[in-house]
Amino acid sequence: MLIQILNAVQLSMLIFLLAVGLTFIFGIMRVINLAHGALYSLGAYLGVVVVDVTGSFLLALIVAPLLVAVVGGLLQIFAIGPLTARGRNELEIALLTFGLMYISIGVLETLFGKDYLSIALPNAMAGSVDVFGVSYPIYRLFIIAVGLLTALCISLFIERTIVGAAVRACVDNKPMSESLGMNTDWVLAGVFAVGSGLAALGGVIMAPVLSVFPHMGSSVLILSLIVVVIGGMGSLKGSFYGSLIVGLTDTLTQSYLPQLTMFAVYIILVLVMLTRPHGLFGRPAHSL
Amino acid sequence: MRIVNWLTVAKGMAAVCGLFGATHSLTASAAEPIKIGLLLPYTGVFASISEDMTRGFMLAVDELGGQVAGRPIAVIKGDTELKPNVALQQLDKILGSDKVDIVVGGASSSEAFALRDALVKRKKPLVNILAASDSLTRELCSPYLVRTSFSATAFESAMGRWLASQGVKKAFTMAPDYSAGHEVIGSFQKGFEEGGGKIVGQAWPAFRTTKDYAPFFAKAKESGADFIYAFFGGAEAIQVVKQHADFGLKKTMPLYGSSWVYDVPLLPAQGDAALGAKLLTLYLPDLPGKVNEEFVKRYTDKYGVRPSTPAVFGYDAAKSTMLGLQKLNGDVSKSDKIAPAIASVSYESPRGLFKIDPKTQNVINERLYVAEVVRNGNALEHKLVEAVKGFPDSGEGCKMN
Amino acid sequence: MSDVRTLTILAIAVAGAGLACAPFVLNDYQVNLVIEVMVFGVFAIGLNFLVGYTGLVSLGHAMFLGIGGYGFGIFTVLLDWPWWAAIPATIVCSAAISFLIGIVCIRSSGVGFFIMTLAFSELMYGLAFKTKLVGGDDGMSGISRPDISFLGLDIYNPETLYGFMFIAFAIVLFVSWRVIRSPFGMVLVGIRENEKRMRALGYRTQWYKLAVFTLSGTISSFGGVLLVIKTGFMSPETLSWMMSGEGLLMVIVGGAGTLLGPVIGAAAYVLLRAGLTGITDHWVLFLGSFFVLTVVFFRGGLVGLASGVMAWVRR
Repeated sequence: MLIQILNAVQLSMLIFLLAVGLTFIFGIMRVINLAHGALYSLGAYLGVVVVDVTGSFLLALIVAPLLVAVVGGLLQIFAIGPLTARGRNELEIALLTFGLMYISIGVLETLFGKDYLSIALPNAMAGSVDVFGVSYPIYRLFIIAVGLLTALCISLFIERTIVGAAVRACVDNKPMSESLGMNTDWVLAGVFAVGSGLAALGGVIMAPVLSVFPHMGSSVLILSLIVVVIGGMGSLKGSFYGSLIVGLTDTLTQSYLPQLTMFAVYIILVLVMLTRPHGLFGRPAHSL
Repeated sequence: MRIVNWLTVAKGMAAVCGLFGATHSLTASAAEPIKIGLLLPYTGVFASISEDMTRGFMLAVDELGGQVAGRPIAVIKGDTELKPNVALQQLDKILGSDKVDIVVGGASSSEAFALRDALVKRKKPLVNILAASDSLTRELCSPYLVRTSFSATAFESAMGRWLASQGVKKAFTMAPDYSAGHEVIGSFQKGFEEGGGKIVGQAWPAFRTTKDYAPFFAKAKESGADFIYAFFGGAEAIQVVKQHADFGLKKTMPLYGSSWVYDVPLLPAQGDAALGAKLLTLYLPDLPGKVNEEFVKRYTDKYGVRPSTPAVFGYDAAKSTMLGLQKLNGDVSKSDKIAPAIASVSYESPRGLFKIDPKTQNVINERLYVAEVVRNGNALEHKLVEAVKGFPDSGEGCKMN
Repeated sequence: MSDVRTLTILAIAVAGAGLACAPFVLNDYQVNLVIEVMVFGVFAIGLNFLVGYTGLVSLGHAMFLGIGGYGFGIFTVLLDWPWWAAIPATIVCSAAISFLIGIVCIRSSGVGFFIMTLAFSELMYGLAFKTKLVGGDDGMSGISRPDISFLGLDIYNPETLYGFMFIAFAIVLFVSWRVIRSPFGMVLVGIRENEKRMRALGYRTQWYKLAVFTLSGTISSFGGVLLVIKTGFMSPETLSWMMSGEGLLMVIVGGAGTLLGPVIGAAAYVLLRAGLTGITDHWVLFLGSFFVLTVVFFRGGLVGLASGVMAWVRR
């Protein structure tokens, strides 16, 4: 049982890395970024390249997310931002990102071929250690640690810094923040960049455990979308606990109620939406 | 070990920048060609397997001079995306527009079922290049269908028998929860229990949605089995093999499987996690014999990599089809004669004697190979451990016509 | 507004004439492609009622393709009903299922609605995948086309199938046109533009939403029936969320909230895809680029582009 809970937490942390970016983008812009899964794949591929060239996994963990963060920021500044400014609605933007997802799959397939790639487990983190009497792989504990650390950093950043306050203000009421003289474009680009970087971090960190291929992002995207809705859009707390709920449900049904695997997460989603339409930690959006 | 194939990257760059793609009518021809449609999932999780099958296929077409009885062979590719409905759309195209005479395809069982139904209805021959579901040459057998790859029970039960003969008696099985998974594990179980083995536990992870196999390894550990027998392919196979090693099970509870799990193209990504694993396969590049040596040489010269098992499936599908057409003297007008003609073909293939059971039109693999994953310089590869005897499938329930 | 109207009438006339003589000038494959356009056209018309007219974006509409397709398969294969009974029965059942799903989904709007529909379609996918009675993951095969030999026609002949599909398509188009022009259709547009105002005017918008959800699901399910009649085969992949996304692309690329937009979008989707897979291995890349460009440059989709051109010519 303990080992299954560790597994669940580990999966939750991966989903959290994706969901946290999605939820802020959602929360501020009401935009569903369907290309978020593509940023995750892109991170994994860049990670493979960095490891291939330099042989250093640590470097991959730093470089790939930074590069993808730049991509994400540019995406907001040059594509999504201007289109929203010209009055394109949320649906059109969502479809734009759906198209971008297709493009990214096509580009990755053309650049790297259709073979599966992977990163070898770094030597320092191979092997297992005893956790409360069960032996558990070190690398998976590392994933859990990275997830928790990320959650902590982001929550400190959002709660304690001036920029974090700006983000919170934008989530709460974007037009009001604008009228108070805030440059919301920069906040948005920043949120996009950080969110993309975290998705890429998820991609790199999972590459030694999973396999890297062009379509790898689509199933993770769905899980993180569900997390965002369960947790409540724009809520950091929501995306954290939502990830735990989804990760636990998925892992525990797989081990104890395998016939429900394909249904459990969705049933929970429907139940949450019926009882709390704005998610567990969400609030109704301000409207004009 | 190089993980990224920079040649592919460079080619890809060129393709993206120049905005041109590889045009795909592979063989140009002048007079009255015989047209073969090749319907494979070139995108999606079976993409690299399809690529290999196509390479083997084209190698055989070239080997026989690209023609049959003076008529050139034209190969028309179609991408099924591993979706039966798309396969059917592509079938409409190659039958209605390209007017192909023979269809080669069926990578997954569901694709094969969809294609089989549509082609039997339209009385056109289907050469089943990969899908292993027994029923295709049992209750669903048809004069319009011939299988050149292998079938589940005949193949996987051999590994069951062999493992039982090695003195391991308790198995834990693991396969995705879909029909092919159940069929393969059932076949293994049959052979293993015949040899005196016992299944002590089973796990069925959800197909294509499972990313983390840790829960199932935890379950396997509890079962106290001697080994795990697994059936996974592509991305899933990589994940399973790596996570199995992460959990430190390699020494205490080795992971055996067929060549799906440890397919050659997957080995670079699986890395050391695959080292030392035993597997059952229909083909290895270093099988003895002149036929195979020549095949490996030509394949390696042309494509720069060693052939995989799917490459040989592609090769045999093309070669048997063309030899069958030769028997008909290139006459494709009687569509009901084509598949039986292919079924009457026999030759020395890189994987051993190629022959087909005329009663079911299902391939008979008389020799199967147990191999081990070893390190050779920088690369991992399969090394022959032992050849084992294979038997034809019973073909129960097959009534032609 | 009159621009759009002239354009619509003109387009219908041209398209009608073109469609009527299509089977005589096209080869079998091309006829098949046009049939596919009509099938996905019906699917997209259904989706457009939610997306284009009411402003509710569904990412689960592929489930209705599945409900219609499997429904027809269950009635004809498992229950052995004749096709003329199976089609109405499937429609009634799809309407009932759409209604039930609608009750739950319309409680949310915006992103919530988007995800709720996704959840239901994934549940349906799981159901189709796991139910051995309808073939499970292997899919359901052996579904026969309607036997219309009493008319002396063989439906397995592409031209005959074309005729059958054409009639079905025309009926759907006509019904949709009547609904859109009705007061009911006007209320839907009102909800899209400003739901609060409609409520203030005394409309019980929840009931309208439920009704349009049911209508939309039923029409799209009918698309599923047509699809299975064409292919004779149904598999869980048809219900995947990518298919739903592609349905949305058809609606948006063609022009959401217009009668013919979805059909034009379906045509663009089917033909472009067929054309691209024919010339390049990297068709995913090109298809994606096309959609991105349409969204970026052509507001209102291809129909929007056409009426823009019309207006420009008039000037």
